[in-house]
Amino acid sequence: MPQLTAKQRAFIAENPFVGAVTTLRPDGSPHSTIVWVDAENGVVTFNTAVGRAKERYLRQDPRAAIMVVHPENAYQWVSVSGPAELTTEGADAQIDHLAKKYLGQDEYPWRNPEEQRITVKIRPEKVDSAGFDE
Amino acid sequence: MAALTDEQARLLLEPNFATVGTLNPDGSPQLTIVWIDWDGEHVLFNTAAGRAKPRNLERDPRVSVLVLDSEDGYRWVAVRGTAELTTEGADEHIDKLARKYTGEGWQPKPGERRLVVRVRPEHVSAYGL
Repeated sequence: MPQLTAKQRAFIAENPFVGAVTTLRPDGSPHSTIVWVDAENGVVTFNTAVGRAKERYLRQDPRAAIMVVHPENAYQWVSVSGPAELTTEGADAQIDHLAKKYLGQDEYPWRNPEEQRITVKIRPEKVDSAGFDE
Repeated sequence: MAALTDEQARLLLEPNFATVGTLNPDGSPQLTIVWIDWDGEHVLFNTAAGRAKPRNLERDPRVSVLVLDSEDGYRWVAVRGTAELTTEGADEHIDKLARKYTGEGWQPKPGERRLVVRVRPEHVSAYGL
């Protein structure tokens, strides 16, 4: 299994850069959207809510790709693809952590009691990047 | 068919980057980053023959293109559609894109055959636009 390098991991985990995630619709066509993203324990993670399109698509076909691009230098990016695992465990804490990372707030401000948050973990099967040469 | 609003089209006409999702031979998604353009009817990008992206699109033309405002990650537009590839006008088009993104003309690489990819939007979703 390919691993993220420490620099690729830090690029994703330590910057408020959004990720473009692509999942597969039931007909197999690609669906792309923007997410808050993190990297920990060798996986790339994001958070969504149960019932949303990408969550439904991933349940049907877990294959996903995610790309994080430096907003001020598009020639630095990391792209990861692999199977996604979904879990509601820790998902509320994760969305708060992401709110801190992206908004500087301790709690996710748009929490909806009707909605169940879910964490998506992408295990890298393929990692590409640019702009990390020393 | 779907159309872009003027504001969405502007995002493509400004020097913002786009991620393009294509399908690998096994049906899994592949993401790359491209320079992007809009001709009033189609989303356009440019690639070179032999790369993974055009090979994927020739086999399965279904594509998603997501354009993100480089100054505001909460403004983006995602277009899905069917890609058409052609070499016609591709050298002029990459030169136009190079000027848009780098301010300088394109330096052709020996032996490289450029391709224009045209995507007529079938569905558009957007955030902050």
